[in-house]
Amino acid sequence: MSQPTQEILSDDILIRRVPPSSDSFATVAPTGTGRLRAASQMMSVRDNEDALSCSLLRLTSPIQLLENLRSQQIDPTGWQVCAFLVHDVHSLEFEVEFSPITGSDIGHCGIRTPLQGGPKFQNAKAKRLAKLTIILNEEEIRDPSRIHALFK
Amino acid sequence: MKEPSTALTREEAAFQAERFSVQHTEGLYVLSRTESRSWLNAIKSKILKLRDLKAGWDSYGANPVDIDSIETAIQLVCELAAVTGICEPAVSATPSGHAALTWSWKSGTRELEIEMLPTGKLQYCFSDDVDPQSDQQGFTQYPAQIAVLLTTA
Repeated sequence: MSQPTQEILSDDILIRRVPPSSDSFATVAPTGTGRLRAASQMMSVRDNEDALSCSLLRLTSPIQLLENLRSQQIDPTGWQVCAFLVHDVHSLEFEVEFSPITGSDIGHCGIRTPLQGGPKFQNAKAKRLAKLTIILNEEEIRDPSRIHALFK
Repeated sequence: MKEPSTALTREEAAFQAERFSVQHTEGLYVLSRTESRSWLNAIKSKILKLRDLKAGWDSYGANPVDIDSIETAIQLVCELAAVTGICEPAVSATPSGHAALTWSWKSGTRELEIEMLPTGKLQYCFSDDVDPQSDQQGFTQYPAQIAVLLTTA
């Protein structure tokens, strides 16, 4: 059976979970505009991993993404969600591949290098991508329609 | 031959007040810290807490943090704490299970990240949003190279 397809547009928004940040373990960093962004380590992959997991906002809501933590026996309290634009992923010469996880994350995507057999997802570029993310506040998590305004 | 003066100059007194030892011969000052930086113990505790991160701590399959990487991070901060002008880093971890330290410049545009590999090597990545041409990345096993990046970049 072939993989379901989904056209991913340049102005689509992607979201990804970010673990709780604390004084002793920084998972977010301040932006110049008074908001928070994901720390670059939170936008990196493991050595043996070739794609960075994220979800398409129009198919997976931030609340759903956080609720999915329960299936891993993780309490979502304190967890955050960062958002970023497909356009910015493309500007770093990565591509977004739709790879839905039936039942739990129908908007799941992987960010990877477009080159067949080329270099894997480069964590140095993850640093650039992290700087283009925005950590969503509670209102934006509850009402995702507010998220688009962040990238206007 | 003129005997060297034992009186401290105003600058030497200021350095001593900031807990540096000052030795000088003709024209050469050697400064070294006589006490550890106040932030050193707090940072060491934060780095040790990385041991508490379990497999999957980022919910995307991250590895637990390697103990050798944690030890390398502690050694690095101990060495850097003795260098003038280096402040407290943020402590984090990578999904590969490596301890990570980040220094952000006050301007908010420059950042240096160090990832401690279990082999003892340090993977560094310096970025400057205003001047991307000055970005640097690579590997080193010498804390002194990191100190140079932090104090001269």
